[in-house]
Amino acid sequence: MRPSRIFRWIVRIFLLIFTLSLSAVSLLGGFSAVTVLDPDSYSINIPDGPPVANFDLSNPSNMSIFVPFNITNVGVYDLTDMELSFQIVMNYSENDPPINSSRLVQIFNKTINYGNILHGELLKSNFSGIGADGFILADIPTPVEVDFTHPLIFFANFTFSASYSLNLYRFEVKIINLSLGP
Amino acid sequence: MGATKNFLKGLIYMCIYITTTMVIPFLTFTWIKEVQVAGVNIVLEQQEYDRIIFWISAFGLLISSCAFFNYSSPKQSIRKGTFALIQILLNCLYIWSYKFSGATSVRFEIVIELTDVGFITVNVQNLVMLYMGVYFLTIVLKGYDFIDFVVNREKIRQIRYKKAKGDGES
Repeated sequence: MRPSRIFRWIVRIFLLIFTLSLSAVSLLGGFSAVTVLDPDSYSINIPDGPPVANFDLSNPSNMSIFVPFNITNVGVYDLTDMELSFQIVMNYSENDPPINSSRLVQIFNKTINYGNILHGELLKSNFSGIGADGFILADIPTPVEVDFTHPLIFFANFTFSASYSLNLYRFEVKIINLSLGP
Repeated sequence: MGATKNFLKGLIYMCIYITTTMVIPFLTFTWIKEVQVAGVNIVLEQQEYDRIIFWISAFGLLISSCAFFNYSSPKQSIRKGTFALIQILLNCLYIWSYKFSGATSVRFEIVIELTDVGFITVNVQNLVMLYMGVYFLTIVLKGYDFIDFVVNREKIRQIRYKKAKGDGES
């Protein structure tokens, strides 16, 4: 065999091993991600108990929200760069003219990066926001501006995102317009 | 006899490429188009699905036809080298088409009782980029093959002639 063909075979074998390992990592990562996200496995519990909220418009700096959650990484790889994001929108009726006009205003917006969860480990924590730490105080209406004869309605947007399988995959789950009730 | 063997080899590889570049991705995307998890419908948008299938079919057809000419050509011939190089370039475009068709960042809608309540996005761009890296090395290898076939043309012909003569004598 010519030396040029021997060199070619060495490179081809290297490429074959590289491609097979990459495919194995991708497949294993895909199946493993499915086990983490499978709702029947109960490995992602958000919320993990009743959320506690204080939306007292008379004292915006004391407004607070606590959402307990737990996430278990049941897969074979680490969950990396995990982020939780939470937004709350309030629908209220204005007191001043024009009468009975309703307004939507975003009163809360916060993103927390929880870093990495090693495989097999459990993260049990609270997503919390108090006063200026999450609440958009400048946009929150004062009680004078709100017509309390109509109920205040709260909606939430929630995003969970993380990278998986040596950062080859990134997934994001977003729940929008989740009613928090009046 | 050699020509028939090469023709059959070309057909077999064409079928393999049709299966791997068109049939399997088509079935996969059709399968994940509407999935039900714990009673919740997770749906791939129709427009996105159509765009992904169009690009996969377009490049899949080109790659498969190129595979026929590549594998039906005689070993170490310039024709084989040329088609192999074109095929690898098409493979790169095929993988790249996953990115620009939106298949690297697939967005599924979460539907409960006909209402969209959110979406799930799976981004596999890093994975595709890594495969592109592997294909780049393969392009280098095919380029090397092509130069080798041109530079050592006489030597390859002599070996082939000797082999053919040996086969004829035996």
